Amino acid sequence: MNEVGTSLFRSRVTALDGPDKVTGAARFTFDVILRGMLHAKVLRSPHPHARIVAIDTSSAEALPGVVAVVTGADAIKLPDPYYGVAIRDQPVLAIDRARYIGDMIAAVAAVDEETAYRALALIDVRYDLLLPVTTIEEALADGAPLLFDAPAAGAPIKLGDGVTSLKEPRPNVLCEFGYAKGDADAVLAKSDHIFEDRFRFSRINHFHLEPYVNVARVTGEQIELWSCNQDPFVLRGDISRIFGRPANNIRINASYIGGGFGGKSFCKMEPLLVLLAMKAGRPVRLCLSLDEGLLTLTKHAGILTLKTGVTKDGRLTARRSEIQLDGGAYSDASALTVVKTGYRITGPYRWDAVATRAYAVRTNTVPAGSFRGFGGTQASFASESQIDMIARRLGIDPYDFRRKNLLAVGEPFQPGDSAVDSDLGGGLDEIVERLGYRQHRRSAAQGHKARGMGLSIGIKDGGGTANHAQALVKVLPSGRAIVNAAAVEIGQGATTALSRIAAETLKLPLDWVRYGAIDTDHTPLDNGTHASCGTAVTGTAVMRAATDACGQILEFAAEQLGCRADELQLDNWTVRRGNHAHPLEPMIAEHFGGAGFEFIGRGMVKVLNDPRAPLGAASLFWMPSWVGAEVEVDRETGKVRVLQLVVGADSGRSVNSVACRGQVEGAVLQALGQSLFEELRYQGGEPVNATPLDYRVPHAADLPDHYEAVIFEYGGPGPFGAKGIGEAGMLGVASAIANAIHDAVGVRLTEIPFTSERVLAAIEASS
Amino acid sequence: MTADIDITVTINRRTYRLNVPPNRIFADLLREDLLLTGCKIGCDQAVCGACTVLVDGLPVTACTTFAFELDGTAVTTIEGLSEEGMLHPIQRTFLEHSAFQCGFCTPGMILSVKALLEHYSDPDETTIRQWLDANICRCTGYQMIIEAVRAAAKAVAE
Amino acid sequence: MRAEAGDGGAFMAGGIDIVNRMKFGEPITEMIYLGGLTELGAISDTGGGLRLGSLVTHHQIETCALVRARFPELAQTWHDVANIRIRCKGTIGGNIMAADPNYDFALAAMAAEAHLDFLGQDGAVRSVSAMALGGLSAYGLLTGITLPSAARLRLAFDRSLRPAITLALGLDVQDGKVIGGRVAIGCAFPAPVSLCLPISEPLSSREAVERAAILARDHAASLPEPMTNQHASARYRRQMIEVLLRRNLATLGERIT
Repeated sequence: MNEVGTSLFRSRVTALDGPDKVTGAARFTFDVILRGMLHAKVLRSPHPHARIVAIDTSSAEALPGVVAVVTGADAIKLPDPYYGVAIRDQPVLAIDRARYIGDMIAAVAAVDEETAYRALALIDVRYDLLLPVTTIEEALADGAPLLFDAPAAGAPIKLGDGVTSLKEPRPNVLCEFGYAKGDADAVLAKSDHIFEDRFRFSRINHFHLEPYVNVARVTGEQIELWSCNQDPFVLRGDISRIFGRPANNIRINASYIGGGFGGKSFCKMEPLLVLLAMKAGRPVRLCLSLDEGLLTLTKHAGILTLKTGVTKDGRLTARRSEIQLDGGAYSDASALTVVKTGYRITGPYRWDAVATRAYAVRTNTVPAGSFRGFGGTQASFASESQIDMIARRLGIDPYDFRRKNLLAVGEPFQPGDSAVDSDLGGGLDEIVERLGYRQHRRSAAQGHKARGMGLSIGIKDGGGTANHAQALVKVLPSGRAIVNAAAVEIGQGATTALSRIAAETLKLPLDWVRYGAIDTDHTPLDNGTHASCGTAVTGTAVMRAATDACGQILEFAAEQLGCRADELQLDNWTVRRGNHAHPLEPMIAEHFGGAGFEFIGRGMVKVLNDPRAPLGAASLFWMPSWVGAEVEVDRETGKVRVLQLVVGADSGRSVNSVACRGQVEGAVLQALGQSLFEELRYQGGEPVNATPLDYRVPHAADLPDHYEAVIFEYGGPGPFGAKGIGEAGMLGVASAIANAIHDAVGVRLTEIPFTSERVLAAIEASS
Repeated sequence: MTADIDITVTINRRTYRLNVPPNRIFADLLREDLLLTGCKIGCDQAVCGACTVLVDGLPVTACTTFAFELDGTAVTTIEGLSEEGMLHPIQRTFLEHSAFQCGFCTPGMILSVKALLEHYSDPDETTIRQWLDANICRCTGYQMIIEAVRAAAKAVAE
Repeated sequence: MRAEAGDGGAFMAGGIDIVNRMKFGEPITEMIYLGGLTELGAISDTGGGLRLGSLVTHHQIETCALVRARFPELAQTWHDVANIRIRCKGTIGGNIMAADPNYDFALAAMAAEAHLDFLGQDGAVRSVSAMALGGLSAYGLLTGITLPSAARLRLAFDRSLRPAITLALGLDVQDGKVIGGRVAIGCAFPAPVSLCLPISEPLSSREAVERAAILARDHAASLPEPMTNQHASARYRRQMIEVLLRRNLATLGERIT
């Protein structure tokens, strides 16, 4: 295990959700069964763009075993049938138009899945085909067909002073973000060199193994959902608004989630299911196939054009960026992603001036939304590739070039924002050492194979923006405790980390603490399980709740003992006063009798709004991703083999170091897959590999020979100095590999994935 | 369709005599009829391996196996791994090495590892990677799973 | 039985291919399950070569002592085909009959110039050369694949560039000299494709390998245009046919000398 730091939590613990998961006892939403439950299936558009002329569901409704069928005609009767983050353009069910192959057109609830499938085949939809726009270029061309006739509901995301945030500024443009510092054009004009390069980023799917699965039950006034959604309270708010029902009549139950990576963040097909359950009058389960999951959400593809100025001795001066993200057919989380990609494009460097324009383009393809890295991946690929290109053009070693320009600890990322809180240079040095970068000499062409090394420092702001969370900690008469917080366990280790924070604060053994079941009736509100905020944000709320409980316990004990609370200390469910230890359990039994008493501690955290910060609040912490890669390239076939990957990330102070390592390694492999082969490919408006058989994700055999995660502990704002680390592994991998390929064979790939064919074409073009 | 088929299958050391429709999928039988819900269904097309169970010691995807194929076989599901409340060494090393995150692939992964260790008493890294090619994990990046497998190999040998 | 089942009927061996087809909506209403026909799962010695029953699994190809002794490259390559689950359940017969260009056993059969035995509806057994594969199901039920004498055959497989292209090379050897051969190519065309290579060289020197590579390339030029799909373009595949042929001829050349 590679740790460079001084965390409080040295001892290794078994994950609290572990025993359930290794015995098969763990219950996921996938396992939820309600008595009398029906099964739903969704009819999806076979066309990328079409007007829905008529839908005839009569044969489907007549099929024995079919209980209810819903279409856009049902959706349009809802008080507000649209959802999306900030900009709400996605209908609960397609109303007048299908906007991508896979768009949800109708849904059936039947006694079993087979009947539901048969019913789908009996639904007759008449379409009038419309011309689709399936690329950014097509969507932005003059006279391009428009995806939407009218403006969407919602408002542009509110950011800091002087930052541009526009909603639907131009045809087929969903939103736009603009940021400027100083006068970038003037600074560029005075720079010794200006380099303009364009990068293309691909779309991938989350491919969480647990499919999208939800169960809905509507009884009278109450709506209940058992959902795989990562953000139960955000979902509750959406359901409340869509169905015009008060939020306290809506109850969302969460279970373990079988993988999310952002794919299960924000509203998806849950409103559709509620609509169906209302009509059916019985509980309904909707479990999508992974094939359908591929047609539900992707990571944003995009084109990033960077115009960067530099002095002749390698000091960065200004960067003007134009970022076009392919948002797909519907908003989802594009508005937020645009902001974050735009903001992060400057990387971990110091700039005299910056001008950034980032926008999401609407195309007739699968909607793009939240994906681990959230724009930081796209930004890091472009920025860290160009940094290397510029260094090489100036004849400067890429390591030296980076070192010269890195932000120092304590320097604000941008004016008004928080200071960088990781030792960017120190981290790079460690990676360089472990990679063997200094010993490497680009090997003379040995036969047809060549080796090369590349470096990269990706970065993103972490913890969300102006984020908040609430928590309760209940301590039972026996000293056992329950943590009530709504950071949902998606595999990131929220269960153990948050329990450990509570246990440490209450001075209890870890196995006395349980992470409580999550349901919006009983669990305090959380803003969503994303942005790597579980430990730093929700964890802070948990720590404050545990501290509050501590205070109450000591007050109680002080009263019983006739002393002051500040004379007492809590330790393993006793209170110590000087040399005396007073066990609490008998004290409670004595005073209360009966069922005893629970100490309920309450905590909350809110990152303050600050209009002087570009994003409207200072970033809570910074999440760098240092990557060193070594590749071997076959000059005749173009095939790239990754020999070594050394990746560093900063946990602040690890609450559970083994979980930190797991998160980094998992993210890195996702990024590796996307760099070399994983892609949801389109031919025009048609996805060509939207099925698990054809959509290749990384397997164990794809691991590099040498693979090392290094967890730095530079300190952070969370409990005991923690940060968040879940997304870090994604950020720098693609650019490090591109840089290594360049080092090996002298060709620059600016488009991912680096398929054998692309690499070979680049090699041939250069000679 | 042909009439229902009688099958005799031993699952987790218990023998069942069942009468199944010819097109009954084994994963559904396990989850719905026998309430052995440790078998998770991911891709439903034999790609991801989440639904892996052992049939006469060999890993098989329950989502693409018909129930009738199990006649006369001995099946192990994740529920059958521990005996009298004692975790199997592989389950223990998975816990010790944190070889899981979301846990959805874990039952299938552990069973696949059990079959591996019955074929190879001390598999090297390459052998492990090749064998586990049959099980997708989207969360861990596999490295910690491989470490757990190597530790399990030692534990099983003892 | 198969004839009775008509269009909605199909044979099922390991079920790998057929279950996928059903899940993707193919309306198969009747399945003739071959699993009980254990005699089709046998591997027997033909005195030099091997007869593989059509229900022999990939795992048997990988592990059977006889296969490893006679055709070590085949056994070694088969260790990497698909994954362990598929190898245990999938059969070489099912693999061939699926006629999927991405599947591997047809390539091995073609490169080895194996013979396929089919049991027709009339009860007669017909033996068809693997090189003549096309319209397979018309022949009836595949019962076995016969590989020729190992003493006179050298095999090489290259799956390093899949799913763009895979290749199997079979050279007939007599008295240390190559007297003929075949290349089979997968993933690059709508069906597995094979080509005779009339190589007549000792293949012991670099020059000889180079000549054989040129001959192979020239013959490969007669192949139809490869596919362009999401995995690779026709142009790349064409280029790689040449590269892989040269590399694998060199590999086999070393082995023969």
